[in-house]
Amino acid sequence: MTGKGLRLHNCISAFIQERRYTLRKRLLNAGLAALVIFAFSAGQALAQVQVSGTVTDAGDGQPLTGVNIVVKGTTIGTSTDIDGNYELNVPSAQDTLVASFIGYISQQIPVNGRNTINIDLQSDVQQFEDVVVVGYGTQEKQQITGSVSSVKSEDFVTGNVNSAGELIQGKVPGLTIASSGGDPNSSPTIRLRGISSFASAQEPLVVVDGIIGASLDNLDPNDIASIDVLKDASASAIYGTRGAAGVIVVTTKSGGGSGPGATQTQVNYNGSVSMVGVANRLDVLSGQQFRALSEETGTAINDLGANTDWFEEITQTGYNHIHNLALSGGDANTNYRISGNFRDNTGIQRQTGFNQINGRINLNQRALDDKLSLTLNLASTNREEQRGFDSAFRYAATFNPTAPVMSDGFENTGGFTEIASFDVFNPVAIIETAEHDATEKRFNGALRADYEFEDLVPGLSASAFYSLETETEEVNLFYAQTNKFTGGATKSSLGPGLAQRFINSDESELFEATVSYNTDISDLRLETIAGYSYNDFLETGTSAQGGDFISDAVGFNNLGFAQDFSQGEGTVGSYKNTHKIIGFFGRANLNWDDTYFLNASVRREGSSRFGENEKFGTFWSTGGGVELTNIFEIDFMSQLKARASYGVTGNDAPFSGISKLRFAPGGNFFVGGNFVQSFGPVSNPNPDLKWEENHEYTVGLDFSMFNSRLNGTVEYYEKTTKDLLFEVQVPVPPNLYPTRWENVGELENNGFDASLDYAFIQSNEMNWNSGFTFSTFNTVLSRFVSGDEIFIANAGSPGQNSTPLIRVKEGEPLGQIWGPEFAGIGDDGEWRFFDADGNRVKIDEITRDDEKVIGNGLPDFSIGWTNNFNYKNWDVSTFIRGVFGHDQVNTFSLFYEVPSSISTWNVLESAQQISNLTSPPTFSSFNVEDASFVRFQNASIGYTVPLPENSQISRLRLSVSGNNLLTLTGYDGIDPEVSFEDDVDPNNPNPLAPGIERRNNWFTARSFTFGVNLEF
Amino acid sequence: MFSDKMNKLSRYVGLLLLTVVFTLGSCTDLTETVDDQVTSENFFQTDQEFVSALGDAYGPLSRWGGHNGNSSNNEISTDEMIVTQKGADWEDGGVWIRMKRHTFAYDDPNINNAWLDLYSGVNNCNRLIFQFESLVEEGTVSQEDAAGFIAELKVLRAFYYLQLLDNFGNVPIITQFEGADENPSQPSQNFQEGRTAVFNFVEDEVTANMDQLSEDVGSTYGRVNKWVAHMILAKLYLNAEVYTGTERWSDVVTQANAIIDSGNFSMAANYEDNFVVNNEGSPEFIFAVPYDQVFLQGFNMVMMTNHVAAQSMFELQAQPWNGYATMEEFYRSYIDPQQNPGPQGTVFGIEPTSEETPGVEEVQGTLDDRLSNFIVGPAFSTSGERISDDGATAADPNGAPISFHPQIFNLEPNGLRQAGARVGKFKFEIGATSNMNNDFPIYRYTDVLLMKAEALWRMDNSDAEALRLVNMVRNRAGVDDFNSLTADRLLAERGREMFYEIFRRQDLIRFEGDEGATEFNDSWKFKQTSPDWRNVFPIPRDQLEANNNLVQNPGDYQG
Repeated sequence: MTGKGLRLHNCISAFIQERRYTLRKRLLNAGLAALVIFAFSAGQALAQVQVSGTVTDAGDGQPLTGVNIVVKGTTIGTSTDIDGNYELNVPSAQDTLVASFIGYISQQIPVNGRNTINIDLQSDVQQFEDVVVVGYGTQEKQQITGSVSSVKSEDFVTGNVNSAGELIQGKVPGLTIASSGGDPNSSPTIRLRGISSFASAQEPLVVVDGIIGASLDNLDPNDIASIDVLKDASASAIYGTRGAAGVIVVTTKSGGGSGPGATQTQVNYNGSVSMVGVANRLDVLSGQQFRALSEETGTAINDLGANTDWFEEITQTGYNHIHNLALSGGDANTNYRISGNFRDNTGIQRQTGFNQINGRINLNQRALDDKLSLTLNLASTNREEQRGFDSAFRYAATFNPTAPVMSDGFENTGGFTEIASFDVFNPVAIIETAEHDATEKRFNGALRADYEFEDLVPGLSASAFYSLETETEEVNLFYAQTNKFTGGATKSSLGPGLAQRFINSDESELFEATVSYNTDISDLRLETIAGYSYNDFLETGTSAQGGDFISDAVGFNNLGFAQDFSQGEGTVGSYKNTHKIIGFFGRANLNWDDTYFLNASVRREGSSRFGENEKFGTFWSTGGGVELTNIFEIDFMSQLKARASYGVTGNDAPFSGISKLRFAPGGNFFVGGNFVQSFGPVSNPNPDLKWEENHEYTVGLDFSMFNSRLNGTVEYYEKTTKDLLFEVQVPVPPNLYPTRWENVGELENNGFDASLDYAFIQSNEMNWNSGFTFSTFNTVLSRFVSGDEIFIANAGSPGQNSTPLIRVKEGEPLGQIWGPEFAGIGDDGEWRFFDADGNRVKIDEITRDDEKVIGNGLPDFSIGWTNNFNYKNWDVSTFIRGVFGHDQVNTFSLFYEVPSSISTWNVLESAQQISNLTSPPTFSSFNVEDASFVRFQNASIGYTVPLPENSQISRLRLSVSGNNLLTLTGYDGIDPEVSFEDDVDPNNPNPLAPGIERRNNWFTARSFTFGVNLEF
Repeated sequence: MFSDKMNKLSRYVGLLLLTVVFTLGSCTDLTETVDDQVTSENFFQTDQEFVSALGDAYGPLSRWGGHNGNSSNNEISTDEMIVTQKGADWEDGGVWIRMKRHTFAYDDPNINNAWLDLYSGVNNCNRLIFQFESLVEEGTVSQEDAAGFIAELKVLRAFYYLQLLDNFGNVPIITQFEGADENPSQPSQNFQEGRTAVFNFVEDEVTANMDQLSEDVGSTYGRVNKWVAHMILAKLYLNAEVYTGTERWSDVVTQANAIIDSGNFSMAANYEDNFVVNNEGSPEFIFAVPYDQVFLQGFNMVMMTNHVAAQSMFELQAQPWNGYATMEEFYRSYIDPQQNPGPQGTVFGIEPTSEETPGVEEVQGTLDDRLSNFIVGPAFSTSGERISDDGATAADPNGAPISFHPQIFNLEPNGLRQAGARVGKFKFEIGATSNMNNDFPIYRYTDVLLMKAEALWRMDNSDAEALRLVNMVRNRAGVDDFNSLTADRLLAERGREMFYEIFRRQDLIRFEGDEGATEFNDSWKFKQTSPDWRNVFPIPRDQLEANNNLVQNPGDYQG
């Protein structure tokens, strides 16, 4: 960069720096400015021509009341009366009228000297369905050549839904949304068309109202108008280095149709109360069964005389309530929607839940003869969580069922019975003598200005966009002196206790400018857009932990009480990461006579995380489609579009500094009687590190037939993700550090996605629609570090720290569960496994050559089936979802199904069936189960209360719904839901090891919800 | 008029938007700054950073007293140490069982850990030597100032190579930081030739640099000084025959004499003084890891050996792992009057008795001060209550009240949880965390005496000085003199004195075996005779796969 360039850069970053600190204020100012401009334009002029007429619905010819009729470019206007009539004085006979009404397409009618103008308005339901949101704009669905699925709010999953992702679970073929277990504070795992990365972003990029990389957690489900999923590389290439895992574009509700015309203020209230209970739990031995198994097997147990159901002791029925109040409206130049959301949730583990307040303001202001449009979106979320302890579930499974919750002599552990054995803790004590709280604050603000250069060049417009998103999370943990789990208490002494505090804050700023130009050349419609994007990220955080308390009174609120700090044993840390992404992009859409369509896009983009030699990459796509019904006459079809597309997208590196040689403090060094901190390398440099690159093509067919009663899409895709980022073992010497991040692997995915909708019944009184989605998955690791195989994902402690569960091998499907094949239990009570020659042998005779693939953690196909039925004022909807062909390692079975373990801890009920077994836990196909399942995910019944004509209330609907009602599966663990990544280390989930249900999983939850929807 | 203004305004707005688009368009700088870690560009600026950087070369030594690496491999593969599988616990993929049986495989992670640790020491030395040399070239540091640091780093690097030579044999010799070969080769494809080359490298490096090292013992505690250099050579020559096929006994004596004659070291009054919590500055310590509960963590014997329920024995702040114990035969070498003549008295025997106190048979045996190496017998909390294991298996004759008995019934699948004398050599502090304060001696003066004695005896089996030196060590332990030396006596004496100082494997390999090639290859409980190619560890699988130029050591390690 030249000196001048550098100065410019500095001044821009200074500008951005400054904005960062004053943003909230600035956004407020911008809002005020918008209001001022609005006041300016409120001029009046004299009437010269009188025009009158009737406005009717183009569909049924009924008159429309309250339609806004405005003279274009002015604020002169009126609205239709109860019979749909209007009368208006127009300044000039050459003026144009604009008729607009919520739910209808606005229409412009030149007066042309007429005195009577009758207007037919088209309902815009059709229009709304046919437009999909794509990157940087919208496009008619008909013209799309890539793979895009759109879900509108009326099709969202209903009931006890607490996160935006769950709204479209099972609705989009190829998109899997898995929320495993019933933890109210965990977000679902979202994967599009299988796994497409090892280390980098697995989840699709989220774009909320233009904010790239926005968080779904700052959205209340009630505020979302539509969710569009850009599924293939062709559709997502415009998002460059971040499009490889697909893109989810969320559009929030705004205040009615934009454009001239006044709309009434609307008030909408949604409220619900849910009851949440445990849907599935582990079946472990009761106290009686525990004693009986001891008798039967002659295994000594530590019988403490009681009968305790530990699961019962740590769980509860949760009650959730959700309230949403939204206000929307506007007039000729302004429209707004303001909403407030409140959620109070209690989890199925005692002492858990959250409470969340969320607010959103969407404001649109038009000015300068409608040429300038300003849009402001502000959203803020404040959430307080009680997270509880995942481990409580694990230890509730294993803690001795004959132990009383509390007993005498355990003063030092708070009265809770504890057993002095490895990895055994009283689960109630974990919950009662420790706290795990978190506070999350999120804010985002976006300001957008669009300007049309109609005067200069018709069809030319430009826009500028700025957004800021901030997120602060504070996590606090406290283990009292009486806590054994981490606090260190024993029966004979109090522990030191431990307090931890983590504060993380993230901030991202986005500036974008685009120019677009649309024109028609005879039958050819050309739409183009070009732009620049500058995104910068800042992550900072602080952590501290210390113990050795004299008093538990202040918990984590004053870490200074921890004597560890005065003794040099407390630990503190902090971090700061910065990250920048800069891109240039463009797209052109060509439409020839609504019959032939061509789309192409390109983005040149770089990320500061890439190596010195590889900062920028080029990502592009192209696609074509043809509407066959315009070429051939097909009687029963109204649409038959064939399309094909190809695209290249990227995936950013997973963290900052990844390509650099970095040093960090290691241990200390003793010099002349003092300890001095030593520094050592923690990474190797790789100046050639670059993005992961996804090449994908899709061929598809969209069709509509039998008077649009049957609509559907069928697609086949193949994608290859190259240069996958992986932390590779490198020889030490000559490298300083044993691993380096490199672009090494290649994944191949292919599959079919299909969706089908059929209207069985269509009438005024009764409707029945059925929708079906189907997707197949196939993921092969076509290239890896070397031809060799690696074995990963150890089963874990106790005793199986070196038992890998997963094999990763070049040329094989991803997610291979690997181990010995179970061959029964021998007469001596020991495990038998098949060796390579098919003999039944003991474990010490099994080598890796005898082991084999004993399962695959990724599914073959999934289905979703939605039914919507309404009759008069009643509506019913059901949703069934199924995922098939994946296996899961049931680690509960692996660790807790061995009867001899009762000398140490409790085991599964199923251990009674193998009571002759004397061996310790040993991993084999015995612990791997087919986890295919069909789940009755959601059902709801609603009743819209008929209201008198003059009622103040315009709509009142009552509903009852149930979520996670029934699961059919042969899997014996807690949840057969696909585990896309191994979360044994939640901070570092491993996508190479899908298909393991770890022992910390929460029980699944079932909920019933009563809801009210009220509109004024 | 109003609309005029608006038109102008609209043009300005348009112009502004275009300007913003194009000015920002020129901003494409993606230079990355690292804010919370240091990079080579912003480190090495002050004296403090200088010394601090040097410390990284010593970093791998913090694993000397830890688990799952070099020390574990060298201990568990011998008759000194055992880690039994206890049901689900300590199965760990069978690595400790394989180590005990000498069937370890080239992909056992503990072997790769040892390689990585030792080579990280080598690499850090190479990097620091390069950095010091660059600073001299730049003129930032004078040649004289740098010379001492560079010599220290080269000898420390030789120390790491000695361990590599001992454990892996034929390993790549890398001395460069910049321009080092991406895929370095071993000195020779032939194992023995390569091993000899590594031997020669260590010898040359130490000899060439030792004179530039500090002779002051006090200020270099925990660091390489001239006496450490002599000791490295002494250890190198002691096993020279193993490494190269040529014995170097007289060189052992020369190096030992250099240390003895310096007068810097002497035997501590009591054996135990060397291993107490505050053992820093013991007159015996030549080279030690100055462990500290806070500042230099990593010595966690307190976790490795203590029984889970024995947390209250020492009011430990964490729950121990119940892993490491000694073999019963090894324990017997202390109390057996034949092997270890000396004053007789009541000592704990080998076998468990019943749930009654003391829970371990008591026998007449030799009273050796060095029995303090073990924790045997009933376990009591600090308040004097008998500690019990609520989950003791029925097969355990001791029942719930815990008594540690040296007898070990099974290696797997269910070694009893109380079986095995525990490692009590390094004294446990009441209220200890999982990191101990005791310093760990890497080289100790008494070892010098025993090495010299052995070398003299090897050259002349009736050497009187050799006998005198061994008896000096025996006398301090309170046991009787030997009247003559034999190979078995020398090896057993080294065992008793040097227990858990990570020398047992080296020692066993040096002595001729009865059944196998060496004592290391002989059979013992849970282990059959092993082939002599087991006397080095395999080149780890991760290394072979990352570097195609490496050749595996002779033998079949795929198991």
